[in-house]
Amino acid sequence: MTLLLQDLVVTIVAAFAAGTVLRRVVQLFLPKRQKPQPLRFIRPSH
Amino acid sequence: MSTAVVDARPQTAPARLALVGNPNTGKTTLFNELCGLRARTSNYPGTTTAVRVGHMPASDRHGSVEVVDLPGLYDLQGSTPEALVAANALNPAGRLRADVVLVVVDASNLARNLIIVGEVLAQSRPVVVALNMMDVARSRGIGVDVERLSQRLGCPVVPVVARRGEGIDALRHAMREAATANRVAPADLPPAPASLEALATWGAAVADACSSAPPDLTATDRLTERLDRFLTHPISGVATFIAIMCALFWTLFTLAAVPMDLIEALFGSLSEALSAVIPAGPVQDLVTQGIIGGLSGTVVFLPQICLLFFLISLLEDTGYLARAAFVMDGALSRFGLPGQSFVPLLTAHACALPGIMSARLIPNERDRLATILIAPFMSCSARLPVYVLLTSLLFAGQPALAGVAFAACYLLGAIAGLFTAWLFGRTALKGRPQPLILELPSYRTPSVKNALLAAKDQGMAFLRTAGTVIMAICIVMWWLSAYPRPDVPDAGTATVAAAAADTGAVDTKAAQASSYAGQFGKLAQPLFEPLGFDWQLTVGVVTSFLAREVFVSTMAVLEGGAGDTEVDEGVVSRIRAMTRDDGTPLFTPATAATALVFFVLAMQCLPTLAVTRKETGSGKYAVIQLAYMSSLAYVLAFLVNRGLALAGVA
Repeated sequence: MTLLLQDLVVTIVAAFAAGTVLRRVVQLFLPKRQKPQPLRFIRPSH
Repeated sequence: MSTAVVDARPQTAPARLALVGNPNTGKTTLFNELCGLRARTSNYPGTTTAVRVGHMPASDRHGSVEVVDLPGLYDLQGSTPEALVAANALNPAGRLRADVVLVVVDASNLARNLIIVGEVLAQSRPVVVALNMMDVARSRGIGVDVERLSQRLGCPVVPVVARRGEGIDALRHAMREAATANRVAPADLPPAPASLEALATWGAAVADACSSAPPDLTATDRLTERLDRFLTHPISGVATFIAIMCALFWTLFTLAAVPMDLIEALFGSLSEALSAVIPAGPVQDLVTQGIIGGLSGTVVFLPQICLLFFLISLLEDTGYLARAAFVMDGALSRFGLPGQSFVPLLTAHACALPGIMSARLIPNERDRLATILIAPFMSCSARLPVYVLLTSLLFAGQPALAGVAFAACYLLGAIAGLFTAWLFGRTALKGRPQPLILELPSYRTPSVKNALLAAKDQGMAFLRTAGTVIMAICIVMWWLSAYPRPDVPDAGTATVAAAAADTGAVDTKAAQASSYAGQFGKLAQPLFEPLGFDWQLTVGVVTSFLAREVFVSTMAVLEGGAGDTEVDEGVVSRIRAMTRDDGTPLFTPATAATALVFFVLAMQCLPTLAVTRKETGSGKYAVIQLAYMSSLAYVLAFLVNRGLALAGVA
């Protein structure tokens, strides 16, 4: 593998890692949207 | 309307079962018996209240039943987050709406436990009462007429000993039956909404009719009283507490050292093996320094976390932690903290993440918030490598003085935390202090199964929260300090080995200075100039705001080493030899002392901020924590630096 190709590979991995860190930083300030819990079944109504 | 819902149930197993009951009734032990290892702990959506959710097999035809372990409550009439979550689970329109409610009752304390039973019975839904701790009741000479109690309550009552798994099958059967049966509320139950006094009177009448209390104190009661007198005494109680805590820490550091060494050795071998397989070059550096370094730097703390929670769970099960909280209440209350803060603050000495998470034990919101805000001041395991490095640099060749400085760091962190609690108690969190109301549960043999489950839960939470971020930071830091790569002749066509040899010829220090990390350090350096930090220290300090243990590996990377996270004499010597751009030593005694004070006090942990936000339900407190701690660290570090300069220390 040439040095240039290796540089490309490690840069992609580092960018992915940076994205993970950034996502965590963003999560600090933007609260996660709460998904409503799906009901497991619907009861017959009377 | 709700009765119609119950009557309309098809012949099927319940879909969701909620466990409610007073604290210390063995609810979680029963939950573990029902669900085994399939449980997970999560916050109830939109709140900071912990709810454990698990699954138990219903029958072959109907799959599994979701079991929700609600927080321990004495009644449902409070306005605490825990009471609101429980009320939601009992509300037919609630998000956690339960199909069957299992009320766990302490058989040895029936009258008080029947208050919440009465409230649940008034909700007109399938109810089963688990009469737990039958063994404790028997040992205290208390007899319970189960049949009669079942008739009085109008619902199935099943005697169980959750700790030993007795009566669990009968309980499962009763729950299946109850899910499809009609139930009528007891005729003498005070009509809803009933006052607590009315419910207490009703509970006492039912307990009198269905149980026989011993005429006098039993031998067990007398032993409990004698133990309590000793363990909550101002002198013997504090002495026992200190002895138990010393034993806990000693066990923690001694026993955890073995798996920690093993983990380090495993990662070391893995790194060597991969170095042999992957040709020398950037990919090998990324794998061995970035990925393996990041993983080992995180996983190495796992044994301490698991062991700490295992031991704390054992202590909690015995009933001692409630006594410890009582003993500590006097000391902590002077700083506006309740006795229950003690456990989270102790835990934070291993890691702030589980420390903050264990603040869930504190029922009062104001007290919980104060504890969460000061927990990161406690010196955690991640600070250890930094303390070792900086104290060794500060007192080179003087191990005794280095040891004193090391202990002083722990003391400084604890003092800063208590001062902050005192300060916040008179400003931001003013006016809502709560007296300590604590039930001293019966002494019990701890459950190893419970402790193992607690250790597993916390270990997994730690790996999930910290693992990804710290590893990612190590990868990014490695890349930032390695790129842009210095010009290598004919790099595009050179073989990796030749290119690596050429790269090695380039001056490492100049390469580091021109890297992205170096450029960033020079840009941010004016901010840390008043503290006497150059661009290299600035890079180390700034990157450790994401995770403080990254400091040692960052300094080693900047020095040109292999990004060590383990502090040994080699790393210390190499970092001690680092120089500034003008050739003067980077770490003078004044710089090392300043950096040490900064690291003790600064909020340098991204996962901690994330957990603070999660546990408080607001990013505001994470920002306050970051701003307050870092400002305090900066100001005190500046004062130390100036003070040492005035005293003539370079």
